[in-house]
Formats: sequence, structure tokens, C-alpha cells
Amino acid sequence: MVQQLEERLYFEAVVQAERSMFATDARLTADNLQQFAPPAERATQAATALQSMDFRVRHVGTFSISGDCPRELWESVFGTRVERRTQPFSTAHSEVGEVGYWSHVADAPFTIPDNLQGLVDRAYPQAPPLFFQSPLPPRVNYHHLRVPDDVALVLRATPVHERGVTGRGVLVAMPDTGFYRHPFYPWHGYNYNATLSPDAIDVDTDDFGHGTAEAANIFAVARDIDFVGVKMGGNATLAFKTASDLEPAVMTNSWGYDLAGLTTLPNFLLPLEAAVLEAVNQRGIVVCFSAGNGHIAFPAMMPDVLAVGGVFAYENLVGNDFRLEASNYASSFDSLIYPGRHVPDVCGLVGMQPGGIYIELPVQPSCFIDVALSGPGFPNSDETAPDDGWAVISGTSAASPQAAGVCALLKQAQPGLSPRLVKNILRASAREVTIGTSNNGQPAGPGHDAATGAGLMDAFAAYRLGRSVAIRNIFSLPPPR
Amino acid sequence: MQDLVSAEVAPASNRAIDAARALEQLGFRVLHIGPTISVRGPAALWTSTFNVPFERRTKRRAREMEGSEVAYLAARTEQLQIPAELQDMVMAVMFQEPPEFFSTG
Repeated sequence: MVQQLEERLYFEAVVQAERSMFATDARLTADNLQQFAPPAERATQAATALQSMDFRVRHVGTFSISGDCPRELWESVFGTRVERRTQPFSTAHSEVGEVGYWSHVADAPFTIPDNLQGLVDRAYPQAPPLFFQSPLPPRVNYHHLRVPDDVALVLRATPVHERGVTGRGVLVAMPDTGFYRHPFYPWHGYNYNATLSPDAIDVDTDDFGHGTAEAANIFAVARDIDFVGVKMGGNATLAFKTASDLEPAVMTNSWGYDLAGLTTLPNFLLPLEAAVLEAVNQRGIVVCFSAGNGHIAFPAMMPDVLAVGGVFAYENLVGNDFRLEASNYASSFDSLIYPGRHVPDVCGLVGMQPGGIYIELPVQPSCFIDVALSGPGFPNSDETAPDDGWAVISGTSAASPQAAGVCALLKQAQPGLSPRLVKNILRASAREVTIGTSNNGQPAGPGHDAATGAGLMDAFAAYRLGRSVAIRNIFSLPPPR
Repeated sequence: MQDLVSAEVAPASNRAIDAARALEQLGFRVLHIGPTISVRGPAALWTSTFNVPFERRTKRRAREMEGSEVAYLAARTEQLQIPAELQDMVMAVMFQEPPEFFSTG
């Protein structure tokens, strides 16, 4: 379906300058741009000349003039030919339709007429832009979850939202690869912000795509949080400290280090351990870490953090819950470095092997993740386009921000909850998962189990439990007799 | 273009500010002072100051994603020496490696 057929031709006419930007040795940069600028009055002279020829001038810029005209006028003035073309309005939504435009015919002549000589260097019909990204994800034909609604539904956050608890007033910080300004975030009205770790650059880009994607999981569970993403440079510990310095109520971290086989913590990780201990025990921040995807993950293995593993929810109900199975993509393990420490504490939603393709998340268009998983062939690819700004992924990278969202709901309901109490509430309210095995081969089963810890988080049960917790000041207890 | 390397420096008790100042005077850039001091500097400066050579390595940002490798300079710390002017203030120097990100691929 062609949504629009533009009868008029839209153009850019480049004003003649002493040095042409079309010269073979020309390469525009921020430093040399002014070398290609025409003399001050020439743009106005060119625009006047174009208007006298019945072109409609829309804008007179430093380097070019924007305008439009009937196709016939363009062809007669410049002695050329154009042809009609169409392209999708959005690569993400072909169902929206196509837009038509005029384009130069290859090998057709093009001549600047005498009355524009010295005023106009070249002129080009303009094609409409492709809208690579959309706040709506593309449709894919396999079982998956969409943000925010499906993730909120399965984690039972929806009834919490209906009771007015949405994470309002709670600051959540997340160190990660970057936080691109994807339209998904403003279209949903989310307070999504980004800052740089002191050794990072380009606050608005996320060339890998991970941070932009996984942040959506937090908002799915707690839509009204105040969010700040801290873009990492080369030092993850510095990024963690930068986030911690903002004194958020909750931090989520979808990364770590694989310490398989080690019985002591490598020295280079001691600073990160110290920073985590400071955040939890001195600043009272609830710190969530992904359990890993087969990794023996640090800092998830630290007893002070909330370690979040993975559970897969099928489409169908069994009894009064979805059919739940331990994700064979997510880690579970007993730490050799922290005696008695089992990972995970609780679980979020994670896909299954081979690729864990499960939750449709926004990414910077054409970033690494957008490209790497694109194309046909589920379950090895996500069947989205490589430049549409959406990817279907998960991993425990998704689970930790989901947990952070649940923590944010609890912190709105009861701001005084300590990190330890938040963890205890989540563990006490989780849903049992009795089937499946983790990536490390540990089994799920009745009660708390090796694969899933206490099980899949239940935001509503956690809220109902947490809202009634009475936090006692030990100094108000009666003195001993 | 210089190869910049990051490290976390553990200061002696109550000497964090002194250590940070001394590191800056040696040409390092102090990015954060907390339980440890986040420091960044050219690889050559680390080598000349602390006797630490480097070797280029790569690491996957996501284990499951081919092509997600990131390059970094790994420190060889077997011969690391804290120079005399820092010995009262600096307990340890710990060079950082890039983390892995736990998403699917």
C-alpha cells in the first residue's frame, strides 16, 4: 500500500562556494566546514533566483537551499529526468505502508541553467528518510515476551501497579554499555536518563546495545522509577562506583566476571568487592547482579547482593500459574570463594538454549546486538531486521533489571527496607519452579532448589508481604530486665 | 594515540588523598576516590613508574556472541614495584579487565 504519492519534488540546492564540497579531494569535517561556506549574500541571491523561476523556497541555509517544485519544472529547468520510487515508511513496520518520492534517473543529463550559474553548484532531489526505529517492536512469529506488558504480567507486577505502586520516587541506577535514546522510552513516558562514567565518552550512544535493551526490563516492572544509566568506559569498577555515588535506592548490574574453578578472589577484583560492600552495607543500596549464563559469576556470588537467575515461562497455564521451567541458559552454582553462598537467590525471566531469544527489547539501530541476532532462523536468530532498533534477547542480563524493578516497587511501598530485608521478602514470596535444570546442570525441584533458588519472583506477593513489614528501631525495644 | 590503562589503587589507611595527589603529580589521572582510587594513565607511564609491562588481549563482551570481542591491555604484574615515593601511601595496584555482559546471543 502506498500511503503517500508526493506530486512535488523536494530538493536541496547547494550554493556555489569558492571550494566545492563535491571536489574529489573534499571531505567535510567539523574543523574544515567553513572552508566550504559560500560568501554571505550568495545564498540569498540563489534563493531569489530560484523563486523567480517558480521554485518554492522553504529554507535558506549556510550551505544549501531547501525547496520543492512540480516535477515538470525540475525537469525543464535542469534539462533532466526523474522517476517515481517508493520505499517503506519504516523498516520496522512494513504494514504501515510506503511513501513515494521523485528520484534522478541514472545517466540522465543535468545542467545548471545560465541564470543559476555561479549561484548553485549542484541540486538534488531528496529521498524521504527511513524510520529505522519505532517505539513499537516488529512482529515475530514465535513465543516471546514484549515489554512492558508481558514482562509485567508474568512477574505479577500488574496488580501492584493497579494499587498505585509503580516505583514512583525511587532512583534506580545501572552501569552498562550505554543508553541510547530509543523512542520506546519517551513514548512510554519513562524517566530514562544517561550519564558517563568518568572514563567513558558519547553519552547518547550504545554501539553494543546491551544497556539500552536491558533497561527496558526495569521499566516493565516499575514504570515510574527515576532511572539513570551509567555508561561504562574501560573500568567497570569505576562505573559501579559512579552509580553508587548517586545514592540510588537500587542498582542493577547485568555483567560480571567468570571465576570458574577459582577458590580465592583475584586481586584485581578486590576493589569491586569493596565498592559493592560499601554500596550495600554503608549506603543501604539494594544491589542486584545477574547470576551469569553458565558463568560462575562475580559479584553475583557475593552474599551481600541479590543474585538473579533465570526461569522460562511458557505460554500455557498449569493450574493458576504459567508453566515454569528453570532456564537452561541461566547459571546456578555454589561459590567456592564465599562458603555457603548459593546463586541464585531468586529468578527473573530468561529464555532457553540455544540462544535465549525470549524478550523483545529496544536497541540502538544497527548496533552489534541488533545486527548479530537479526535474520531468519529462530531459535538461532530473532527474525528481526538488523537495523530496526529491536532485538529479542534475554540472559540473566534481563533478569537482574527485572529484579531491580520489583525492588523499586518494594522501596516505594516501604522506603525503609534494608537490602537484606528486600532480599528476604523476595525469597519468601517467590513462586516455586519444580522442573528443568540450570545451565550448570543443577536441578529445579520442590521448595528452594539449586537451579532457581527460591524460584521466580512474584511482585504482587512481594508487595503484599513487604507492605506489612514493621521495621523496628532496636533502640525502641524494651531494655532487658 | 596513547594506550590508556585503568587501575584501582588501594591506599594505605587514611592516606587516600595523599596517594591521589602523589599519583597526579606523577602524571596519572585520578578519576574517583573511594575505598580504592580509580586511576588512569598511559601504558608507558605505568610501565616506567611501576615496572609493569602490558600485552594486548581480547575478551568477548558476551560469551555467546561471536564478534563481540573487545581489545584491552593486560598488565603483567609479576615484577610490579611500588616506587619509593608511594610506598607509604599505596598498598596495592590492581589493573582492571573488561567485564562480560550476560545477555544472549
